[in-house]
Amino acid sequence: MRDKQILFLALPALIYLFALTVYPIADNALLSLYERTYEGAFKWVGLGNYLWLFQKDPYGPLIIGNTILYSVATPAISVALAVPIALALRRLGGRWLLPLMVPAFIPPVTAAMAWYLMLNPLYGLGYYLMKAGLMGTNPISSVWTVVLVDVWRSLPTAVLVIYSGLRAIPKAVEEAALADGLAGPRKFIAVDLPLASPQILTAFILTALTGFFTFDPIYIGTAQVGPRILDNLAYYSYEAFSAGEFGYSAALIVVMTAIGTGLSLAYMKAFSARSFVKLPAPVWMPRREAPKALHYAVLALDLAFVFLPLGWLLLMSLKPPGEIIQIPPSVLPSRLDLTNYVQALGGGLPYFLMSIYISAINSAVTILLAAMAAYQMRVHGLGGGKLVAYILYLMSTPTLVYIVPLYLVVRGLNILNTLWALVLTYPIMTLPYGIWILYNYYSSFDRRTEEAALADGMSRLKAFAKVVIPLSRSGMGVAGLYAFLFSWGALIFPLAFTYTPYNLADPLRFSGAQTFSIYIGELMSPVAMSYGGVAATGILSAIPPLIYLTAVRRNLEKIWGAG
Amino acid sequence: MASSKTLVAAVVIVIIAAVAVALLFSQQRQQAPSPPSASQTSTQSQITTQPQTSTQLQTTSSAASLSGSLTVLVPTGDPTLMPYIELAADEFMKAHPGVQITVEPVPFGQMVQTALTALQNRNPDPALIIFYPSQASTFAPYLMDLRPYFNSGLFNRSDIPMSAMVSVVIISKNGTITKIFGVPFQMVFGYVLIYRKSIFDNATLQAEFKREYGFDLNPLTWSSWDQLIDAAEFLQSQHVAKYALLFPDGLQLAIFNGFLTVFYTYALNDSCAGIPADVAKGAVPTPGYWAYFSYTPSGAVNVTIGCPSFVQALRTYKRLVQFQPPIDVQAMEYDQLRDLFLTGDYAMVAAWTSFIPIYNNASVSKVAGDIAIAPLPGGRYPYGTGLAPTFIGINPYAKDPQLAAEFIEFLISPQMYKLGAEKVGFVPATISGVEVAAQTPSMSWLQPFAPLLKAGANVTDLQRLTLVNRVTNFFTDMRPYFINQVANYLRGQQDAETTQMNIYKTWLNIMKIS
Repeated sequence: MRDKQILFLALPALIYLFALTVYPIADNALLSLYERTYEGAFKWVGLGNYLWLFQKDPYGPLIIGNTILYSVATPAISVALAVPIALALRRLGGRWLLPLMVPAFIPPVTAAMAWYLMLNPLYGLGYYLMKAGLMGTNPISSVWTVVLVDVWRSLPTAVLVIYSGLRAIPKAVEEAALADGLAGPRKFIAVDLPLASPQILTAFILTALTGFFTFDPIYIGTAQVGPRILDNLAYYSYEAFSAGEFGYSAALIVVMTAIGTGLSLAYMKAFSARSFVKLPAPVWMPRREAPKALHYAVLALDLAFVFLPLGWLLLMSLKPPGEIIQIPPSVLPSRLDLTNYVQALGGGLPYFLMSIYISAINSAVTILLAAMAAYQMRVHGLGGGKLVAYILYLMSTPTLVYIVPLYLVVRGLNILNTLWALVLTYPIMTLPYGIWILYNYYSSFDRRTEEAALADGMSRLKAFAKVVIPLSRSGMGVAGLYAFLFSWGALIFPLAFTYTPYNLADPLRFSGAQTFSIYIGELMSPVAMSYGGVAATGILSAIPPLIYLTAVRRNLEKIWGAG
Repeated sequence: MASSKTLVAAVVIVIIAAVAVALLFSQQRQQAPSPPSASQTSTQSQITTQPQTSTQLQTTSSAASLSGSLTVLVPTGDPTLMPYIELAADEFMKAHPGVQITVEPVPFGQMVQTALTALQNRNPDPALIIFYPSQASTFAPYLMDLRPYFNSGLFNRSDIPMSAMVSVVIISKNGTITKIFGVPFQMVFGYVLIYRKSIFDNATLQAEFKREYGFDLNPLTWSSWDQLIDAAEFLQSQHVAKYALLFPDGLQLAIFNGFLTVFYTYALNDSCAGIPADVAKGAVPTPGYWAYFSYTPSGAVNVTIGCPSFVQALRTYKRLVQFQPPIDVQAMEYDQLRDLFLTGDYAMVAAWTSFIPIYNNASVSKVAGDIAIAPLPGGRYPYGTGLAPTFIGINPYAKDPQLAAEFIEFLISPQMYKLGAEKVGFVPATISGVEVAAQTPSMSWLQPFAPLLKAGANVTDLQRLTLVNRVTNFFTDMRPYFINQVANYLRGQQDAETTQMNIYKTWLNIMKIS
């Protein structure tokens, strides 16, 4: 009976995940063998789509190359930067962590937009960089700008994970090192690096996934660069999907999934690694602690890196319209003007409301389902290592995999372009991550609490609801934060499943479901571009996730430290 | 613990507030007594029935005979399109109180997917779909055949230039029209040369230019790209503006259409390109994508990229973009063409006529009231300025296709066009419409363009002009490659001949013909 109740609690999440992920992954593979004809029918082409990619598509090699570049350069740079920042944080105190975490909680589309507006060679700081000779060409036209934006977004996660790893080093080890006269860089090489290496590897893989899945910097930047030049497999498959080439899109996704699976295997290996990296310390390496000023300098540079694009976005949003398109650009507005915010809220209200709805609903759904499943998996061992592996696999699988088959499902259910299409599909993005976060959280959960409740005569269901859930709030808060963040910043699903703004004339039908991310993207399109409106919209889009981050900030380190 | 409670409370409050705002907004919308304003473009709007006024327009059908509802899918972004559709819908409903028209805005980037979704699902709404030439081939299989309405005379075929219809006509192998799936109702002329009157009307500059170059500093009298380039060089040397000429070289769309403008003028005189005889005489001022494709004697499809005129055009194109920031500093996409000319830093811009209302908007533009318009490359040989029509088509699953057709007929009537020109500055697509609109003082700039429409009233080689419609991956695979190759040439990374051969070989290799 008890076992059945354990399964019953986990069942909603597991049924949902298996039903909505196994079919799309298999169907996508099948779809990749077809081509849509001019008349709209599907024609069997066998491996034709794959042959086209590798033999005929003039951009096939470039796009695969870009995918690899983003997947390697982003984690390499992020981790290289994160290590000294994490060391500085350990020395100077974790209070600096919150401001450094901000980029991780900015919607990806806003992050991309902030950088592109700042680097704009006519209206942005890019003008002065070019004038000073620090840049020769438009920086937006480089794949490295995509890497830059991704590093900006993923660096906080790398810092948090590595910092948590450093903090988890037992005090006894620290004291022994000190007794041996080890401090500063030599101690890092001899003691910190080996002990924190699992976290460093995890940070590398997590940031590699950011680079691998990157979409928004390409979506925003491609208009300034040229078609396909910035594309990776994720973006190109979306482009093919939008053009109605479902078969080709599916083939690109299959290729991407193959690479993603390799990454996820590496992720699982790194996550479970108990091996330590040991490097020889050069004799010249100092034994004393680095000066505090150096740590302050590291943090100051990181803070500048974090807040420069956001600051520029804020200043731009407050400029009067006449000052935005001005060459040379003015750094400070002549007066504070809220016109852009009026414009952003005027046109963007339906989008904003829809984002609030779906983020709130999806966060609630994710938290509940994830807690129900994760608790049983961790505390009662439900599903064993295989289920955990599948959850990790889903975390590293691109959401694009689901687009084509889910599009057909959503269309079949006649809920396309409604809030319900998003409610049905969003947990695919957030549930695996939520389960994984709570799975880690429950590793330190005292099982005897539940047993005591059962001994008091409660059923397992009641014990879970009345005892476990109330004690899981901090973990659920963090899982909810990530769910909210993913929901708030999601671009691919709403682009695929919605096509008109929320119809405020008939609000309770919840038809028309485009989200705020789409609104930002539309403002960036060459036809409708309004830089001031874009900047104001970007600032507005950052507010809800940052409020959430502030509310649950104390729980973040706990979760990652446990991981 | 406390923070979690606060968080839950905050989320609940936000949701309640959001629903309240939505309901409030909804009530306000439903209570609004007046029709939607011209600027209302970003949210879905319900056009309400208004009492009849003395200015009510008449339609060809009797008011009592029409009733029902229509939804029109309208892309946002064009400053006059949405206001015109709303105006026409309002007038139509005044004339037919039993008709309800809903205008559904859709962001430009979403319009294809939105419309295709409805058509593939066989949804009855939207009944009417608006689209552009580059999207025509995507919609061709799905939209209703409108030939019966042309045959019955509901749509006046003689008033619509055939040159504006090539994107929406499907031709059989024996040359018969087998389907017409759209009606051009808005015309954008592009590119046109928009120039600053305060500079070009300067008598001192005019005299000096004439003395130095031997022709007038008047774009309406020019006949070649060389004259435009000479004028730009002169103005640059005189420092009358920061930059003399802003020419499209944007990497998303502008480079593709900007180069075509130049190529067409050279292709007209290139036997290799094989432009049909009546077109070569200037009968069709439509530098369309069709110019890139031709039939071989065996009936196969060839591309004209390999012709000498292509290289000539590349070289001229590079000279045209030399007066602005280089492409690797800033490529000039539509938003730059629109926004940078507003700053007053440029003496001339090659732009779409749809930008004119923005240039003349004194609240954002430093050149408002200071602009004049001429065809490209000059007024004497305006073949570089093409017709870029906006089409409207009917969903074959619409509840009442006849009603939809009646609305289209109303939309392209001279009376409605006159009202549209007066109230929202709308540019018609019919010959009579342009003539009527050009009489409106604020639209007098249209007068030089009326002959362009008339010239394209009839064309012969429709098969050639519609061949591009059969190239199914023209926009998805071929266009991106073309844009990047030409951009490489403009950046100085390869020469004109290499650019030509790269595009020629790759296009032949990847072209898919239906």
